[in-house]
Amino acid sequence: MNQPTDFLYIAVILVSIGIYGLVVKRNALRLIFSIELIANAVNLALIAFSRMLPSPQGQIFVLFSIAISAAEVAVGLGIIIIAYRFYKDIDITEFRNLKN
Amino acid sequence: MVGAIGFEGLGVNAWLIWMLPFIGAAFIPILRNKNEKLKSYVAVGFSLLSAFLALSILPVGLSNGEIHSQIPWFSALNLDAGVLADPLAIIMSNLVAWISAAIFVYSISYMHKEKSLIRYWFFMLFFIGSMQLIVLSDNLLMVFFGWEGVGLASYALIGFWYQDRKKDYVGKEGHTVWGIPMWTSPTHAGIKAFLQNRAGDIMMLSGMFLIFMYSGTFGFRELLTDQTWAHAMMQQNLLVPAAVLIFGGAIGKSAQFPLNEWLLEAMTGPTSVSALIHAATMVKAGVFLVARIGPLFFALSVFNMQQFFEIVAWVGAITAMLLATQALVNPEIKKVLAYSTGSQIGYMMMALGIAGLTTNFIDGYTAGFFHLISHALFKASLFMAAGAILHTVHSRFMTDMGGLRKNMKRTYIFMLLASLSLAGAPLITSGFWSKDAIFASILDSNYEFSSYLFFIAVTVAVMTAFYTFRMVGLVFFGKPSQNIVNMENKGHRIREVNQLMWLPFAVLAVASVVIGLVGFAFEGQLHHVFATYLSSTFGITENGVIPLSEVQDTTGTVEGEGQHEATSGGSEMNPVAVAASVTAFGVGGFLGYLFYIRRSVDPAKINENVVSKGLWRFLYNRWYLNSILYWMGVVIPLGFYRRVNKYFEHLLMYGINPSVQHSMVFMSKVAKMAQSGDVQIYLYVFSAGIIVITMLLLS
Amino acid sequence: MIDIFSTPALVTIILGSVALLIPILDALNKERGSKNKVYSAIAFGALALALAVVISRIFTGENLPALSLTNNGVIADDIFGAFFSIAFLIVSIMVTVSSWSYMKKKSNHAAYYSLILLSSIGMILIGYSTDFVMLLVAWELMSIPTYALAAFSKRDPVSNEAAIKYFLFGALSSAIIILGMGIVYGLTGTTNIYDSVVGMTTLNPDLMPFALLAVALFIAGFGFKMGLVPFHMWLPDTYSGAPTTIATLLAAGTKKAGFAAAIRVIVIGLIALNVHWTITLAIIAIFTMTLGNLGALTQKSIPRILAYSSIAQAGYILIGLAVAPYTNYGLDASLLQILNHAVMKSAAFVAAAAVIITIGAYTIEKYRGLGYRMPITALVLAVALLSLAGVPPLNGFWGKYLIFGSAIDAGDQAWWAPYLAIAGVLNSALSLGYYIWIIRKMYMEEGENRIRQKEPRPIVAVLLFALGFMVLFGIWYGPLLDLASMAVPNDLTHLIAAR
Repeated sequence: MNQPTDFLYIAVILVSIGIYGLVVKRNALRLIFSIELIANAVNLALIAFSRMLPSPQGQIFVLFSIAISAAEVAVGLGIIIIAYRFYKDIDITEFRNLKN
Repeated sequence: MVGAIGFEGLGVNAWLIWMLPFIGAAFIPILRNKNEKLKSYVAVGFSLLSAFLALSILPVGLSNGEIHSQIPWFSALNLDAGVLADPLAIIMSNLVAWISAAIFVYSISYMHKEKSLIRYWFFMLFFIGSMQLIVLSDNLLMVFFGWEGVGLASYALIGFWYQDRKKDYVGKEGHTVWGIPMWTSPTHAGIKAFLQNRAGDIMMLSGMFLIFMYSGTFGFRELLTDQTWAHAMMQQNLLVPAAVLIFGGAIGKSAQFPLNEWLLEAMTGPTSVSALIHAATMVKAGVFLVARIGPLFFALSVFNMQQFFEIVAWVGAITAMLLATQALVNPEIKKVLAYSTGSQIGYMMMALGIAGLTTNFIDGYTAGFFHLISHALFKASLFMAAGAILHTVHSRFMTDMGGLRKNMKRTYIFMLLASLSLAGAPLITSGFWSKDAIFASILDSNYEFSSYLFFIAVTVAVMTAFYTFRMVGLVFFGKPSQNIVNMENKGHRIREVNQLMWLPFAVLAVASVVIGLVGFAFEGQLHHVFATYLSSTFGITENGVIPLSEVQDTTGTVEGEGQHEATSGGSEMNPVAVAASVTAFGVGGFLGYLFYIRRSVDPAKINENVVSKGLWRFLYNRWYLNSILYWMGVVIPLGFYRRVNKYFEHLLMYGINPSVQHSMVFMSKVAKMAQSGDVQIYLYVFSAGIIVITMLLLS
Repeated sequence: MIDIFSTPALVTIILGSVALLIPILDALNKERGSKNKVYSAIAFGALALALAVVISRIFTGENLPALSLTNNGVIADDIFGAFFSIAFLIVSIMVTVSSWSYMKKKSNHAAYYSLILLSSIGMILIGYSTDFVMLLVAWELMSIPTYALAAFSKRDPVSNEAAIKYFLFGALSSAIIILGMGIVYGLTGTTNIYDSVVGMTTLNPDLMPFALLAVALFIAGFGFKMGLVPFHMWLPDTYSGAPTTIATLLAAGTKKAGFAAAIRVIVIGLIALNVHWTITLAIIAIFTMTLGNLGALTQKSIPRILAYSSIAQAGYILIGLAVAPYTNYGLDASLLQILNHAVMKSAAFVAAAAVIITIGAYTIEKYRGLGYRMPITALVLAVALLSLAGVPPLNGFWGKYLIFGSAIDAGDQAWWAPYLAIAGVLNSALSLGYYIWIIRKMYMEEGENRIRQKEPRPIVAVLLFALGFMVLFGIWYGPLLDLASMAVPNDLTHLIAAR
């Protein structure tokens, strides 16, 4: 488990899990988890690339990426809290006022 | 001296001349809650400003300078927008600007207490802006924009009184020919003018684009400098057709045969509008266009443009004859003036056409343009005077007037002066000199049928003098008509119109006489300006065309020679022409005097025999042209359309259309099927989309 | 390093400082009561100043590169960025000024205007960035404030739902973009766009599928903002649910930022990549136009029609991108249409906002007789719709005309390109169906009454500006096209030759 490519395999697995979660889960929080899973899989891959190449840019990239994800999730959670106030639930299939 | 000045100095003035009226038009609606005076004064201010700007570039024109400034417009098509103020455009622009300024001043009083003043001023400003755009633009495309603007404004103004009150109608009520009513409402007249102009515009547009296809440019100067397009077009036998198509636009706008009918019914608008249409803007646009492109086509005379000029000359001659005869019998004052406009425009076209049929282009060209100037002056004056009379008498029929010379002294004097100019009173009126110049140029030409043209021209001159005197006689002489007696009995006093109204037409009438007094010198000067302009720009001299390249090679020498030639050319009077025009005035004037001023012969008596009665009816029914056009253009096509509608459109409306609609709605529903509002599905589609696109890319 | 006086830096400083200043002012403000007007005015001032900076830079800056293709720094001061900045700033100004009226009765003004400014910075920096990291940061700076803005009507469940949908897709797409960037980084070892383009040309053929995967991810990630089918599903819901001014910002601003990023990354990057990717974009373009127009055909709510129509418009613009390698002016045409569409769509949305705050009408049935009740709004809406449909002589016509023209022009090298033009023309005809329908409702049909409503002044000003823009640049589109062609590098063809 020390080869850089191993990290890439793990990253691919994580991405797949993330996409699976996105398509199947109905809880808004889980969807955010899934998305975060993809983002973090990419981070992992980036660090692995950074080791492989080697070049430091990838690690800088990851730092930015983590910060951005944090900001994004913060806003997202805020929105979901408001949604909870309306529906007392965060099942996304409930949110169907807008359609067609 | 050809000096091209760019977008600085006077170049800006040239742009502003046509932009200012548009700016004014955009500005006027802001004043909608302000009082009437302010609106009028602002509009007049804008027109005066534009006029002074035009004046500021007049020295450039008289010294044969040129302002040509361009800015990129459609870069994809390599088109530039530009103004081209050469002597022709500058003189025309001044004419338009000052006459319209006078008409604007007149309108203040004429349109007093009119309700929709904003609309009036908006379209009036729009009108002169479009006209100045036609005059000053340097390419056919911009001319066309102005052309359409003029058409639109005229449509709106002819139908200005869209309420269609009976008093605004034109023509005698109940007069029908072949089932076609000969009296029309303002809206009807507006639409008619619009449609007939469209017919001309379509021709012009196709001519323009035909040339554009070969030359890749609309610019007048560009067309001149590179003449390979003309060569290519001639090989396809397209050059003359294209030129004639462009002339078709002029036919529509200038109300020449066969699109002359709209002008007669365009009298439904306010009289100030009629004055503008006839003197400065609308109908002159057609003549101006011919004056604009005429030298260009003449410069291409290697390519045998003879036919084009022949068509121009004959269309002019036919129109002159046609409308002059109709003017003889019409009872409405404004309509008589309208007929006379059409017929005078015919003169101008004749002159411009004959110019191209001789080697000496300059004489005919100058004659045509001189007539344009003098006609603009006296016709504006006549219309405004007629408006003043209508304003007082409240009737458009001359039979409702009569004996007005005592009550309206000033109107009488100035209208008489302008009328003399129209009739061509020898030596003292501008109309005489310009008509004389046209006669001379026809006589001097070596065109094989020039004697026929001359005959027509003289006949028309006789008729012109006659109907002018008829008009003056019916309006100002004789006993007051029943209408006036009635009005006076009711307590209306027939009296002179106010100062703001008579001053503008007085100024123009006097101007027309002043030009007449110095007519010979004026003509010489004009001849000189155009001679240098044509020779330096187009390479057209007294003896035909020299290739442009040579002109530019030897600019210095040609300049000197050109001036020399100019003073020598056109200074000899043609005795035959003078004799003819004096005789024509004499005969026509005498007859008119006899019938209508002294009233020693009762015109009704002549009408008693069959021949003259038939003739009278023929003329009064306008040669049946109106009816023919209606049958051919409206009634029959409409009938045909109804048939088509019945059998085909029914099918289309109730068979095919709904099925298209339903299938579209169905497809729309299918397209939106996934849009259920469920984020789960959205995410699924998104993920699937990535996979599909990856597959597409990999394949 | 970054020159502090380069346009992007200056604009960032101007907008950023004001964006931070507004919340501070609000915190310091002891008095109760709304300061909506003050903040709106401040934000407007900052945006106008930024616009002035950008425009003056175009006129004064000599030797500005068209679209900077260098590996020097993370942002480049080039005309491409300036072009998009002008579009974004115009949109932001229109949004800010119309919010003056729209936000009158709502709360939290300081945050609102601050977020708009921050989002504008993000959009502008996307146009200028030459590095993936910078691009990502700018992308998120643009997106995150808009998530909050979409949910801004806190008491409105619809606004919240719109925001949730928007957020989920936004977060997913940014994850996907990072994934794509990660792959490119892994393949080429650099985060600079130009270097990675160069690196791609010398790529080991075995690794090509990964490069293509990255491309697909970019198309999906940026395509989400652009509203390309099949990444468009969130778009109608969000545009119609979010506050209308924010929908304006999304439709006219962030959507165009998606195109900026796509041109920076996909088109320029892919030209180097010897792959027939263009046909993929062409297929997406056809689906996008058709689906957008079909969807709009049976809508009842005006914001929703506008949302669908903006999907369709994205399809038209994408045609220019798809044919970019084959013709010289495909990108010019797209850029022109991007700027035009920004103004047209803003005008339409702002008009819809005016109707919402004046008579509270969303559905098309309530628009009946609007021509009498709100004449200016109705007029500008009508002109904007005609312009969107591409009726000459309005500016929308020229954009479409040039795009279809470029597609036909590209027919020499790509057999399918003329079909794009045909599809585009057919779609335009289809779109007239619903545009004319709205205009008919407004003018031909009798509404509830004919009482003239008071139209909010700031919105009227915005609408008249847009009207002037649409008509003026419809008659005289020369300067815009010149600017657009200045923004596209001439050596695009060299890149094609070099591959």
